[in-house]
Amino acid sequence: MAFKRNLLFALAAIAVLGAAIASYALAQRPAAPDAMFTMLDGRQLRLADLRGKTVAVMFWATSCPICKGEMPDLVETYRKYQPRGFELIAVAMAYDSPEQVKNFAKSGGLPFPVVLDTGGDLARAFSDTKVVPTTFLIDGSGKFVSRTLGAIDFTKLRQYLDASLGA
Amino acid sequence: MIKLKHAALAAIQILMLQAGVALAAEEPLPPDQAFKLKVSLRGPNTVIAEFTPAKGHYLYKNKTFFALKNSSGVLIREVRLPPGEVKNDPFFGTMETYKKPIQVEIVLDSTPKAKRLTLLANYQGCNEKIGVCYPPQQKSFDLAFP
Repeated sequence: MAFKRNLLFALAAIAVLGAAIASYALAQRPAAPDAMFTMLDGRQLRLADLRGKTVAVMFWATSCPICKGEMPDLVETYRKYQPRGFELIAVAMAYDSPEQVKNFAKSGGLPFPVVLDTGGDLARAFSDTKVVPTTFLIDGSGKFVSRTLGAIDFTKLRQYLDASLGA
Repeated sequence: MIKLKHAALAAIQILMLQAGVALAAEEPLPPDQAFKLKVSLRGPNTVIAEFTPAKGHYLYKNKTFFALKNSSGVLIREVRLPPGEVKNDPFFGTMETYKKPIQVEIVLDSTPKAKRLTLLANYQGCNEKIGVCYPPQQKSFDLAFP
């Protein structure tokens, strides 16, 4: 009985300490920049207007095979989770050719906003991104959750979206 | 009791997730370290460009090209790129890549009056381990004829 009670206290202590550290860690995460995205069709999208949604900002280039390789999974994830509060913005790097980006977005039937980072301001604002693909995940409060270099682990992303967006 | 256990496990899980996010990012090398490049003149009409990709990195053969600027009396006659390793890409088809150090011979046509040249080397590559690609690189090299 005493053992059980001690175990209970130990678990309670771990839970309280864990939750405290976790909430501290969550609070320490930096806020995403107040970026303005200009989509291929000229419409503008402000990151701050997407508060309440989980947002992925993916930097990519048409010259990057890995980026193109993950597009089908991105399309599928977007179609599934966008109605539940997920938004995805695909930012083509400044060195990419606008024509090639437009052609790829059209031929690939990309359903999410595609943005040209003319001048490279967005890449600079997002941790001075140089290599692609680099994907930032931002929570509903506008804070960074993660930065992924290279291909996204879609199992983990879907787990996170299932947990954060609810049913 | 069971609820507490779950709470404790959830707290530990969140902590591990946080640690995972913090530790996950392996930073890529700066481009100059990822793809080292040395350029030198060999004889009166040949420039040698030596590329050394860092371990786990590769360059694209078809994105490696050269140009001249401020090089009065000098023209590039031929660029001899060695054969690369063939890579099949679902989007780009068959591509040749360089994972190991290579030497590129750039054969010049120059008039006797030509004194110097500026070679612009363009190249682009990726880090295979992290799975990221670098922006196109352009480096400028000033060379003087002996």
